[in-house]
Amino acid sequence: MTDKVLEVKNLTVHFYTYAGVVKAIENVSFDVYRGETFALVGETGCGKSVTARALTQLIESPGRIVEGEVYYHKNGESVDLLKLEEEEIRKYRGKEIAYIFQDPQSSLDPLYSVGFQVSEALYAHNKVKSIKEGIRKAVDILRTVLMPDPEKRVSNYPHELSGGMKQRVTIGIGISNDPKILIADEPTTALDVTVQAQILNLIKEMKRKYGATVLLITHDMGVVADMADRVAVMYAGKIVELADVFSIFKEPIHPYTEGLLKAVPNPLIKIERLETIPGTVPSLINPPSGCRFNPRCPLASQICRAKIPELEEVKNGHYVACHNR
Amino acid sequence: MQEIHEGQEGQKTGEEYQRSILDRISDFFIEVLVSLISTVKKGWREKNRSRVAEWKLMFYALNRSPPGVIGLFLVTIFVFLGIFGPFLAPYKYNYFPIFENGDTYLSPPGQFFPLGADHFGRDLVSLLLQGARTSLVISIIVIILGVPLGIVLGLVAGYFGGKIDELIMRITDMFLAFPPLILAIAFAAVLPERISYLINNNPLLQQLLLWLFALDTREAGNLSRLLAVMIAMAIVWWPGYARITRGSTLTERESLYVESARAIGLSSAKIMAKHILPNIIGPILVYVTLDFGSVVLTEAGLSFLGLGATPPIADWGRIVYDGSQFFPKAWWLIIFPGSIVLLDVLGWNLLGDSLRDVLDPKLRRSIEFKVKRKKGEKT
Repeated sequence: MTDKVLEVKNLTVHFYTYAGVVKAIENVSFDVYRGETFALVGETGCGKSVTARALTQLIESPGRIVEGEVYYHKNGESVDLLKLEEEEIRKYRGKEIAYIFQDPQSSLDPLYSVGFQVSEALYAHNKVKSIKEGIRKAVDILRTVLMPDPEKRVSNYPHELSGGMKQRVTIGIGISNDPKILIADEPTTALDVTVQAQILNLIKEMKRKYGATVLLITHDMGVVADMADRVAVMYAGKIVELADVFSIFKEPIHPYTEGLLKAVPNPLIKIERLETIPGTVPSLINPPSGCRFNPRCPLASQICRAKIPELEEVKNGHYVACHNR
Repeated sequence: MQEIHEGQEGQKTGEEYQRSILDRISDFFIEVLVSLISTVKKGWREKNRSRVAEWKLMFYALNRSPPGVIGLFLVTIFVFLGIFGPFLAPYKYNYFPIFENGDTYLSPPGQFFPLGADHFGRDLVSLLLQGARTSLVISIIVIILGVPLGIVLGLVAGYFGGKIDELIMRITDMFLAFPPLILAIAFAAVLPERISYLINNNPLLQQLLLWLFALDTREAGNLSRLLAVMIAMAIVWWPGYARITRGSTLTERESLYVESARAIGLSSAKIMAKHILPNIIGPILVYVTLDFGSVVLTEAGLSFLGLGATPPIADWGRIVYDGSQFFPKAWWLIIFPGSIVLLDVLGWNLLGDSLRDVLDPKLRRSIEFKVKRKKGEKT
């Protein structure tokens, strides 16, 4: 657990739009250890997906990675992924760091059979000599992701498959090159609940089988409790709290994390209304001064409006960015 | 369960439908084509059964729109004439009966020839048939040169965005700022001299062009003007395609499967060629068909203005131009070539219009519902 595989330091991504500069994420730093499941949690638009995409420079114009370092450790060597040229980073995408995207309906190209698309991922990293050979291998990969009847399914097109099956295919594409890190960007949001459970089990299974590290992005606290070893809570482009999953759920320190947990229904406690966090997510073009959560925070004081809180370790492995801890 | 099964079978064979005569004709041609492919590639028919059924259904849908049938009919005739016209012509385009018999000078229809003669005393039917070849070859080459250029530039501009996009699209705007005909005139007027040098030094190119236009070796000197028109039109034609390709690329680039393709480490060129282009090619192909008519028209317009083909090379626009000096006495020199151009352009436009309906999956479904099933099955 002490073996760092990914080290993110001061990652800052800005989007240069006509309305102004959107500071999507600022000074995001975290480490991911080999073999763990690290979860990034936060509400819509807090910068979880941007963080995940920035790791392999997948940020599209008008977005730009302003500063930061992402060290990828492998066999004792470390590479700064953000310093690599497009040609070089391409070798890491899919092979070392693979993605599973949110919406399986649209993350597969409608014009190609699923076998071709798995094969394409293999072919891109020279795992197979031809697309044809890759399609034969795709059968095995589809079997690994528990696709029923994989021999038949390889020649199916995405529209012929259900949402859950498509997500199995995208997971298959993700694991096809034995990546060291699997980034699952809200893998279950577009699926219904029963399929969600299957897909989460599958990701766990794949993680166990291939010993991959999983970076899980979600807004579902239930998924976090089920899957994650450590959790980083993001708010308005910053990490506000980072700890192992037990500390987050048992003794959250940051008021935002507390609010987030209160907003999750608990079947054991009968209440009339769920508590919500008052106010809305601030505009990231002109974020509030000081702590970005201060307009919505029940504990906000003078210092919260004046000074940006730093992410500091309060307990062993429990980091919080708050003046009132 | 049984019914669903039957429905699927029906889609696979196409036998379940009440077919009209037109459907039977199109089925016959598809069957001939499929047999031809199957003899070359064993087992092709078995593998592509659903694809063949899809083609058949596409034609059923097309057969349900009268303008589409008329368009297809006209286009087929003109393509056929474009290919075989020069061989079907009763006289060669460079046969001047006037040298033997002075009476054929501007002879009216019916006197010596069914559609009359031009001021060189040549048979108008033969000229129109020869002109079909000229028109078809020029149009196809303009499309072949201009469209891929526009598509590549549009893809690059749309995919990379930013400064590259600005650069390519501003150049495109510069071309679009001039009326296409005027720009084509400018190029067609300037180019021939440089091109004649090129043609004279490339006997192979010269032979190819002579063969394409079904011309005599004697006409080698006039080829440069034909080639100049083609190049001038190709230069004018690509910006439209760059625009539509860029527009479609911009929407397609945002789609998640393009991002997934980037995430598995594919190169930009591969993403553009394999994932973006195939997804946007449908509308572009329809646009090509719609556009073919305008290419024919512009070509006729250019030669009407005296650019492009020169006598004795036959060209519809040129015949109208030469005939205009003898109007209204020799009305047949204007009415017949003019109507031919009209029908050709009309054919391409009608076909393109209904192809758009047929190739658009949403619109096509509504057309397919008009195709009735056999055995009183519910539609």
